[in-house]
Amino acid sequence: MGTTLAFHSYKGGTGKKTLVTNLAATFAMMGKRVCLLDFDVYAPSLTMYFQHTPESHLNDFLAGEAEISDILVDVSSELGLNGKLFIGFSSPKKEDIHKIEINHDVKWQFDAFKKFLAAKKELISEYELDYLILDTSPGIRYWAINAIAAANLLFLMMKVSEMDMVGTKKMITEIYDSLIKYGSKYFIILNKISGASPLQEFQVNVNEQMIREIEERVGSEVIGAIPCFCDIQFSSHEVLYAIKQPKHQFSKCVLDIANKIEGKSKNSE
Amino acid sequence: MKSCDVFPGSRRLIKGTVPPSSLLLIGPSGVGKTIFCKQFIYAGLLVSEPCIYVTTNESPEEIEKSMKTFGFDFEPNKDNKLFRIVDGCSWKLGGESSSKYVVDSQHDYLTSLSIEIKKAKQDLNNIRLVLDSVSELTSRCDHGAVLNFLQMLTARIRTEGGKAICTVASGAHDEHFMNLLRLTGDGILEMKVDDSGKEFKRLLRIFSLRGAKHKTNWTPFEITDKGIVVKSETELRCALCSKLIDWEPVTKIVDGKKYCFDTLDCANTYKKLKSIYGDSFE
Repeated sequence: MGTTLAFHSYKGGTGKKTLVTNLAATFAMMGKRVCLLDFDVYAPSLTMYFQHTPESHLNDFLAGEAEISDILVDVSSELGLNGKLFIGFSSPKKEDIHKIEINHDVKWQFDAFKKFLAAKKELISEYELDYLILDTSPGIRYWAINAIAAANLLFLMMKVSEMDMVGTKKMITEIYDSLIKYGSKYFIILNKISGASPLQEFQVNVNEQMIREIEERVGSEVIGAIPCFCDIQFSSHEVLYAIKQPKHQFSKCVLDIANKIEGKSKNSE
Repeated sequence: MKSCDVFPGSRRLIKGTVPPSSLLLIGPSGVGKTIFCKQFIYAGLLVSEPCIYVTTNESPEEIEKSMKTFGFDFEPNKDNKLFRIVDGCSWKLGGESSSKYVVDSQHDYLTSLSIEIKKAKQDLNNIRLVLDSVSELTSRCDHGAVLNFLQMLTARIRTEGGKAICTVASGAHDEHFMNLLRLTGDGILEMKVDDSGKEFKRLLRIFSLRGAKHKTNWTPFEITDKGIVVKSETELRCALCSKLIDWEPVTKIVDGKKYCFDTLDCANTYKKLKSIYGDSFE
């Protein structure tokens, strides 16, 4: 039985998309069977990492105009992965984003989500997935919340800033804590930590004391702490570092998180 | 994703995966055994499994024509040679056949059939095989020889990880032969017709299947223009995802109301959504 992972954040700019895409690729490099679905339906951008123009999008599936299998793109062989990586893209077209947000009533939204839940089971069993990864939009928005409810393991990305900390804590209190009693587990991933030393090839120093303080403050385990890498931060295009630069410190951090998620996933079975 | 049954109704009648097995499909003439077999073959082709159809009473042309009628498009697999027909029928018509694997009248029938099946499966693994029909074989060959032939064929398919279905006409054989025949396979599928009520009903059941948990009750099915559709006796659907619940439902009380779910995961997701959206989520 595969595990469903959802990645979420209080606000944008936490580096969620870069982590999620690299994590999905890392799992597949480890030989896992992975499917990544772009539930960031309000600002889809997976095409920046995987250069594909699919014929059908997640939006078409939710509208009942395509099967879930129709929207998946298998990128495994082109990326030279040991396992499998299927991507389900969201439509970046303005009218499609508008449609999903405004044009449909609540009943339509619920029905579309129920359709996804039925398809999720088929996806995991038919594609023999180890991981179904749901990338969500930041904040408390309808499709982000639904994706969180559909997942077993939840990952909250945040930067080490007061605003992120207060907002994340608020989301945990208002939403995440109520999900725990129904089997969900959530963890924090810190990203873009300033003051670490990523330039030393074999050592990335993250302040452990700071991590413990954050854990205490937000009330959740920090499963990953990624320093701020200038080359990533100021890169002019999006890169799958896990594949292109596996020795990059960022790729090593992602691998470390992947291994920890493997452990958490086994424990939650 | 090819979300399809291994054979018509398999996902509804069997829990989990269908093990490598050779099955006997027993039913009266006209109930739908041959269509069932063609659909079994087509389901295999959809997931790129090599398939061999051994026919004793239809020519390859007739099989292909009938499959096309139901929309079972096998043409791409003829080119990649995943679909092969062993023709044990055309010899009666003088031996002309479009198949490469044709039983000839020079050898003993079962020997020739064995040779052609062996040739057809030579470069293939994990095959699906249909033998339609065993009853036709007994009209030409000694019962003991047919049983030996079937035992060897089914054992070989099973040990190679394949799946086979052999059809048998019910009422066409004596009880002793049927009892011995039932021992040759790993499982028995039965079909029957019920015309006692207002409606003419076709019914299917899995009498036995080694290595799998399955339902044993008679389940209605229809022959539609897309092939056999196995129906559900009850239309119980998951309160969350609306999926048909084929097995025991997960029953939970939420806010004093009883709900049936397909899985525990659905039950928990429902509770999560309720806790977030309150009563507006229904």
